[in-house]
Amino acid sequence: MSKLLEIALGIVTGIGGFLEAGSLATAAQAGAAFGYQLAWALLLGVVCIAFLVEMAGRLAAVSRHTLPDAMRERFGIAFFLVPLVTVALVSFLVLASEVGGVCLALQFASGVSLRWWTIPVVLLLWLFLWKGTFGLVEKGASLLGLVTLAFVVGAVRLHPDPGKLAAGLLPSLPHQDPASYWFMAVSIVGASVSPYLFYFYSAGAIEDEWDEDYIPINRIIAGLGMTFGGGVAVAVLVCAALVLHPAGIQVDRYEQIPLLLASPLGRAGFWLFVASLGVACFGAALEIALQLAYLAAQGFGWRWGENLRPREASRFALVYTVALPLAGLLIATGIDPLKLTVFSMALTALSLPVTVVPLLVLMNDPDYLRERTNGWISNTAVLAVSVVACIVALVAIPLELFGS
Amino acid sequence: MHTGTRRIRPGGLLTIGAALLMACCRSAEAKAHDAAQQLRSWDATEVLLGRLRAAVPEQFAAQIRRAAAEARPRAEAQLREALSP
Repeated sequence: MSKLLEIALGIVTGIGGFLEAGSLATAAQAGAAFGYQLAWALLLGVVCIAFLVEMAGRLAAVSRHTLPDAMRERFGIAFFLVPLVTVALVSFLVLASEVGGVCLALQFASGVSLRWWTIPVVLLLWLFLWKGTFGLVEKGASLLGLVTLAFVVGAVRLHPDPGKLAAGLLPSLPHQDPASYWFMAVSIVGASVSPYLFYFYSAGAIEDEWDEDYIPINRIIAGLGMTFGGGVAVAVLVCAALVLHPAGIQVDRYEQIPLLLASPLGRAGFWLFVASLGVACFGAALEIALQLAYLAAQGFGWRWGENLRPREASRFALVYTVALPLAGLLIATGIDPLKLTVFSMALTALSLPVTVVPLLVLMNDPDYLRERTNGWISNTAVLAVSVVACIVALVAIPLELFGS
Repeated sequence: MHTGTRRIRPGGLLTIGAALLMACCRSAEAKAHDAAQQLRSWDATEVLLGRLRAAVPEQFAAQIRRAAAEARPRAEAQLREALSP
């Protein structure tokens, strides 16, 4: 495949794969409650995830190690268990949110309660992973995810004021309800910087057999793919800021969110929203379930690979076979999918130092990266965003939990 | 690898303590404000739904009305509790 085609496909994958339950829900809530004022949190998250994805790809291309594999080797199994358990827990909650997102899309389309959809959705997800290949999961789901560009069309049709949007990209203090403001800010950062994104990307680079020739391609894909993908999340925020915010609607339930596309695009907008939610969450659920399997298999040194038959990598297949029904079970218990999504994202922000600092140590180790270690800009940017997001989450989560 | 005794620093404890204290001491006025805002938000949702009647299928409109009917009593109860002496 020509390099140009690979770059184009990588960027398209970034765009189609960026939006999922977390980024959709947090951007819609933020736009509805605070207009453009929280756009800076999205920008911060996108910059941070672009750096992290680039690092994960570079580590794989230079050292031929996936992230969990390198962490276990570099820090030892006892230390490795801390990020392993943290990432696994957070990813499991995010997986449940994504399964909930697919079930909700089906509920919106059919009127049949989301609980009835959990078993068919979990079965379909499992079947895709059991029978599918890595290319199908990565590229197939992301290409279908291009339907989320409907939010960009919706945002353009609402004629946002570029000056006001640009002003929202600069961090500012809230005019009202500071607890909600900071909670939403960390949820947005958590949604953008989900560890599954860069863990999955690192495993994908090994599955695709990247070497050092891929470093420039990796940089372009990480930079442009994540930036354009983040643009879709900004479009969701713009739609919410122009449809829900002026009407005085705060997003308390997922049912309120489709209105933000139905308003600029009519009935087509409603169905595009349903398709976007369903496809984006389905793709994300596939990636997260697979990432949980990668994490366990690479961390414990089992045989792994989505391109292998399940019987050739049985423990790897067992992980997603167990994770998917458990995630479905959590949704079937009747837990509020929106609350689950937003709290999963805030917890992701809280756990960032645990997931990011070991990666930064690896990225500055010449034994792994040789002359391609990190520069000070990427180190500072990622460390600053992770630590600040964690501190704000530490204060904002109890406030949101016990305050309302 | 670090093998020393794990300790939570006093600064960290203070931050967590302050956050929990602020959360528990949230004023009744703030709780009433939240509940009233939620009620207004559901009213506004139904107004917008009315304007977009042609853009959403009837079964979905029924889902929104059901969500509003579930959320309203909770918000009203929260408002009553916050306003009671």
